[in-house]
Amino acid sequence: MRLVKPRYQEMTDESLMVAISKGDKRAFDEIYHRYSGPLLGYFMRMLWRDREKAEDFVHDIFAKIIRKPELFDPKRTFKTWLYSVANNMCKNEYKKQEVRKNTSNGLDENYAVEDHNSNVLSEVADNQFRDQFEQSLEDLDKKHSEVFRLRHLDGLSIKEIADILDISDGTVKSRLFYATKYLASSLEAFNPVLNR
Amino acid sequence: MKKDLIDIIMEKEFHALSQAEREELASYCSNEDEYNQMRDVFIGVEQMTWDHPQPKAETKQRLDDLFDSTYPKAAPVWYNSVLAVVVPNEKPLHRQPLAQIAAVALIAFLTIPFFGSDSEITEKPAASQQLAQVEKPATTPSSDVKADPENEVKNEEPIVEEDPITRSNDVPVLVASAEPMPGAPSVGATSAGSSGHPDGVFIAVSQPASEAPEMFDLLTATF
Repeated sequence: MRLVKPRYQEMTDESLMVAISKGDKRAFDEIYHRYSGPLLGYFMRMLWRDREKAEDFVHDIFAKIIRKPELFDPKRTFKTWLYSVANNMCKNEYKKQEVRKNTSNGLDENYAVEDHNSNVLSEVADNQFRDQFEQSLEDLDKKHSEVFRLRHLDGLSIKEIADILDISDGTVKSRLFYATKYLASSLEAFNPVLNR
Repeated sequence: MKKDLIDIIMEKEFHALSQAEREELASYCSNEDEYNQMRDVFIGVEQMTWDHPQPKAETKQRLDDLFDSTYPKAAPVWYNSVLAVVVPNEKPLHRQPLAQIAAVALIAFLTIPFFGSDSEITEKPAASQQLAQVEKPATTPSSDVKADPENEVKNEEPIVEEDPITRSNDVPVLVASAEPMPGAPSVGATSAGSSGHPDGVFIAVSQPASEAPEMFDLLTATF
């Protein structure tokens, strides 16, 4: 019996994972509370803003945590491990989409997988800078945009991104600066906005 | 936590960069204009508020169901409900009823002996009388043994054994000897001739050497 009850909010992700592996429901709730929102945003950005698909992916990644918590490598930080799993899930999805595209039988290839239920975009529709920014990110090739997104939208450090994508710190920096230069040139018209 | 290059760019103007930082940035931006352009992008992105959408409640519900099926709880039995009241998991140890009851019981156990100390003193003599009554029948000779003539000699001896003086100081030791010892004390001792024992056994009660110095001298000379 514990003398002092654990305060889940103060526990580290790694210790919460240990508790989850022992069947602690409250530890799982805490982990879900910490990462479900950021992961949903990440999946939405990576999966063509398809909210339904992103929801399914969030479910799947947490289902993995429930079913096989031992998959977590304690040598890595939980956040890094979680995002690397999410990144691999997205890669698999890209492959699936690629196969479907190649085997499509007359369906419109430009079918937009948009989330019509979400009003996130409509809320910022009047923000031209944001629209342009999003568009520029979309135009970037995937390896550059994903590094930029992980750094600026998900708040991960260069070291963490390197760990997630299994590349060197130098490569992360290089991709990050390339993406930044590209964005800077495409958003040049919004200099007053940038300089506010 | 060590700041990475992006944090440095967002925090510092170009002229404020150290030589080491400039060298590190050299491969990414060659001049001040490029640096400022990049800095503007980073700051602009940082200032943008990103909505973090929350997953639907159904997603959480499905995960809760999955968790419950993966880690099934123990079947509810009657003592589980009792334990839930007496040892609730949500409360810390010092607030659990079982711990509180145990603490009260411990305090009672430690304090009650101090309240009953007077009555114990008055009861002591009665207890010692009872002890004496229990001991007496063991020392008094039984009527069954009287019929044996050999035991008659031994029956005379308990008088010595019951002497309160010798009993209180040292336990008397029966010493068997073929002849009476010359320096042996005469108290309670009977010679073989006077006792009329057929084997000529001399029975004497020894005393501590400190009470009979001549006995001590004899022992020293012998050994």
